[in-house]
Amino acid sequence: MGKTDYLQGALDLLILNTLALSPNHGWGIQQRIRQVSREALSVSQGSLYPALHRLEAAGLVSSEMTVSGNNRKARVYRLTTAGRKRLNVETADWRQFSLAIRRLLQGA
Amino acid sequence: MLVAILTRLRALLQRGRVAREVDDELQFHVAKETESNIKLGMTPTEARRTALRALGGIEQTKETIRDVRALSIDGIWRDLRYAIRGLSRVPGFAAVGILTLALGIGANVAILGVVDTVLLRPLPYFEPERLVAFTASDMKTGAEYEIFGMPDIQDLRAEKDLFEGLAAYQTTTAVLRGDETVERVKARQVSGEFFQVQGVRPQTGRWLASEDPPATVVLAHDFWRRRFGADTNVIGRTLELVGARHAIVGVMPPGFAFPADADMWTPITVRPFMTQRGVRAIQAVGRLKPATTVSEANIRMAAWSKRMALDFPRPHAAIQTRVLPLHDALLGSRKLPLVVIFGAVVAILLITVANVAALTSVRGTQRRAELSIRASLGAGRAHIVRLIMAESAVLGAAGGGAGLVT
Repeated sequence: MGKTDYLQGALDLLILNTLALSPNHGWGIQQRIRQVSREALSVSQGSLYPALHRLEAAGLVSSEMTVSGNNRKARVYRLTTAGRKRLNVETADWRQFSLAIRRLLQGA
Repeated sequence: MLVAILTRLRALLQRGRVAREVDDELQFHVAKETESNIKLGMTPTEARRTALRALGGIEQTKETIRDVRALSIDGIWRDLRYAIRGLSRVPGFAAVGILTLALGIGANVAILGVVDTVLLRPLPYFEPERLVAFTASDMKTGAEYEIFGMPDIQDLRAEKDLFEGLAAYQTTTAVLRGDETVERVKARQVSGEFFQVQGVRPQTGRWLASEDPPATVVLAHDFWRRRFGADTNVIGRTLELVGARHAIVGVMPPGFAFPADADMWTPITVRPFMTQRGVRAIQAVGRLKPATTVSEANIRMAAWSKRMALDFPRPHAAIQTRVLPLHDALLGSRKLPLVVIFGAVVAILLITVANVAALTSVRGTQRRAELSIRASLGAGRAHIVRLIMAESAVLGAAGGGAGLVT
């Protein structure tokens, strides 16, 4: 089982966490997740973009089409207030979950 | 929540544009990825091919995005459609629910209209909060007067640092003789300052002035429309009032009909008996100086009443004269019943809501089987709540619509 398989469940958390730093477009979010995790985590576009649109439909992020310097259209996502709340909840959940796993592994 | 609904609505209304935006978004991704690959040392062709490969099936991604978006929007439509279909299967329940809501809401709309015009809307006057009416209480007999004698009015007018202006009027009627008809009209007699004190400009023509002869008249807007068909050339024509031809000099704007639904205003005729102290025949309306409150004014009025009692002990010994906001004076007796009716109607709405809530929960019990089938087929708790909410929303919208129409 590859390490990215764990990722799916935590994808929302990764996206929300990245957007909490600053608004960003899809490519930027992907790069940032890759860099910060030191290449350990890589999110495929096929799951990143549907996830972004799902989060937007749920009101956790909002998006805006912008035109960049060389006239390229980019969609920039930003965290909504609801998204920030959700991030806090998910972060706490994840901490609890990973702590439990670590204890379990240490006990074994 | 609101943002989410707006996003979905936008997506629904602009399906084409949304698809184009998703296209742009993915194109942007490929472009950025290509740039980054070139920086890593690839040739442009290689870089673009790698970027496209990394993106995986673009069409598949687009489709997934479309599904994600469609699910949430079409879900709402589907729930509404289910709700309408579900309600039409129980027409009795739906009819009672809608009718109950319509009656409750209709009664509220009707009463709120009245309350709005009478209680909430300000007077059509300039700075109406400075306008006051006068009352006098006889401390010995407990009698309340809203009428005064001409000497009282002149003494009040002398309080120049309290009142900016003070006008006298009588709520009189007169007989108007037309070509074929004779009718009683609400022709109020007013002193020269009357319109100026209230700060209402005539729509056409001019105010009454102190030096106007008694046979002069200013018309109220409604009367002007009724009698003259809103003819703008009415100035200079005459009306035969109490046997004398009165020259029309002005028409007031709509909404001004003080006092008591006036049809017209003529100069006040001061008869000799009115000038005797102690004879009460005239009402008064005053305009306080700027930044003077009613309670401040009443402190001064208490002192004035005391002074009057010393100067003219016979009629004034126990008379306490006060001012009150004109708005309150106008409503006076009408205010309390209106508040009571409004309260009653709000209570009706609450009863309506309680009734419909009870009906809905009964229906919920009947639907338990259907809902548990839905749950066992995988409908989440949130989805079931949404289904029931959709039904209530349809019921509420239909009831509200019917209530507004009636």
